[in-house]
Amino acid sequence: MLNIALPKGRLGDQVLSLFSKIGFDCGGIYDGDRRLVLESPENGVRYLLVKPSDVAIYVEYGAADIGVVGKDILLDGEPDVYELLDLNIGKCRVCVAGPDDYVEDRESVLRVATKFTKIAKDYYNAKNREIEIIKLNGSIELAPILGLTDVIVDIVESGRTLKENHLKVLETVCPISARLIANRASYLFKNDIIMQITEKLQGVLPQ
Amino acid sequence: MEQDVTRALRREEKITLALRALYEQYGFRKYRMGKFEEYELYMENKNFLKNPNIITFHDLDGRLMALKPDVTLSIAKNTRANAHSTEKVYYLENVYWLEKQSGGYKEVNQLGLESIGRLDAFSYYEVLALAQETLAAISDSHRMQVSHIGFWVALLDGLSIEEGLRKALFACIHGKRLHELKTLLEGAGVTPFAAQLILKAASLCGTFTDTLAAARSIAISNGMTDALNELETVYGLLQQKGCAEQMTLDFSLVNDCDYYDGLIFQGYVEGVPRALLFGGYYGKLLRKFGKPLDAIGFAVYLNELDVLFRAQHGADVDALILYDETADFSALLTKAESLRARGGGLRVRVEKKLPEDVRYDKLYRFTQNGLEEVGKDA
Repeated sequence: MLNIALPKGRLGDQVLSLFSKIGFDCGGIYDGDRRLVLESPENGVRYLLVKPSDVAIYVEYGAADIGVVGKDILLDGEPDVYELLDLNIGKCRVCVAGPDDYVEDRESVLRVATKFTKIAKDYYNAKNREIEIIKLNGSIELAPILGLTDVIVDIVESGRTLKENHLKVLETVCPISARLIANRASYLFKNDIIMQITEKLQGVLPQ
Repeated sequence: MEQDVTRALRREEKITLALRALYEQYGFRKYRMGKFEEYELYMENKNFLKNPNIITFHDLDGRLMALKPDVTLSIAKNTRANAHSTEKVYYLENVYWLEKQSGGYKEVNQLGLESIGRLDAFSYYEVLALAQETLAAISDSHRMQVSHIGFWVALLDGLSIEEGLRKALFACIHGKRLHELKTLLEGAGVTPFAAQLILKAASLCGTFTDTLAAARSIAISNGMTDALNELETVYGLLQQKGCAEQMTLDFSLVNDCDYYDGLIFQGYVEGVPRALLFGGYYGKLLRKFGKPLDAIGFAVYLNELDVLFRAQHGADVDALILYDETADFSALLTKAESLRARGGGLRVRVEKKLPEDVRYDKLYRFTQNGLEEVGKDA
């Protein structure tokens, strides 16, 4: 049985539909219910629906053989896994954003609110810019509005949330999309089915 | 009566003993070292450390000392091998690493061996064969990935790929991120011909013979051919010994390029989610110590076996005897001792009350009539 970790939510739904297209559906039993494990014994797969930020951990530690996860999670956590495919779905960007009237004071340490601490640190290190990171886990947009930080580093999809909170994109850090990842040991011991899935997915990916 | 002392050993301890005997059969001698090393050694050789975070302390004479994060550095620094004499040693030591997930240090029990001197393909074969046998001793279901850093260095040198780009290239190759490797090569202005060769090399993975043939088809320099010839010779000897079946040739295995500069290999056993055996050729390290010698070795991280054998550990004792306040202690002693003497020394625990955290094979109650079996396989 191949264990596949998928992110709960919209991206997970899209991925289930992709897997269904290549003949690995979950037996028609998924209808947005609250179950965390969906099994399809006839296809030899078991889907584990987990928090998006935990997918890579499930795969790295072998609880799942393969998984689908956003590149943001991979960049921030650097799990030791194979990244086999860019699925070209769940596309967005990690951006630096600040208030509409923001002008950077280059003489001060830049205060940055983010949940992606490693991505932010690497980005500003490369620019040799001294920063202070304030890690937040949600509602990051509030930080510059309340003066907690100067800017935020966060995922931007349509930009609507930023706009509604009077923030704007200042810089793009990196593009993001969903990736197919595999556990290193599973890649060896279950190579046939993992390669079969990878090759089939390659054939149905949106361009 | 002779007692079977190995009954008291856990499975990983039995494997360790068996492997020590195996390494000695190949002429490797046990190497014992101190727990500490001067921090300076690691500072000067940071590139050779897998994990740069080190636990340090000041000795009474003011020297900054470190709890060993690595064993090979100490062996390479102190080796007595020279151009005329090789050194073959194995070790069983603890090293100390920072664990990413917990953010704290952990003690890692490491069993490994090193072969240092003027070596050739036969020496490399012996070390790979021992690595294979090490994996086989742990589990019937095991795999070994093999690659050659010399192949990659010769390819990138031949294509004049600048040093600054190589770290990023190797990171993509190690993660099998071919989609990102392509973008990286395009963005770095690498010629389409060079990019195509690098992408092809990065995707080379599979059975040894087929992958080797595919690798030969893209060899553009003597350095690449030399690396492939070395792989072929070693593989041929492993085949002759009958331990080549579980090997995969995978050129995406390019981690620790600062450490290894020739053959490189990693071992896996089914049930452990990551590699537990790491090895390769590290002549570069010896040259850094001013010793122009060859060196190859591997280490297996025994802590990983915990994951594998956790569910397989059997009972804590073979028999558990319960007695009550009416028991005749002298008769109880006789019964317990006679049980212990059975079958090369059974493990027998005597208790008045059933302990909560003890697993037993058989449960006995001691009464005036003697021992009465009342339960099994708790």
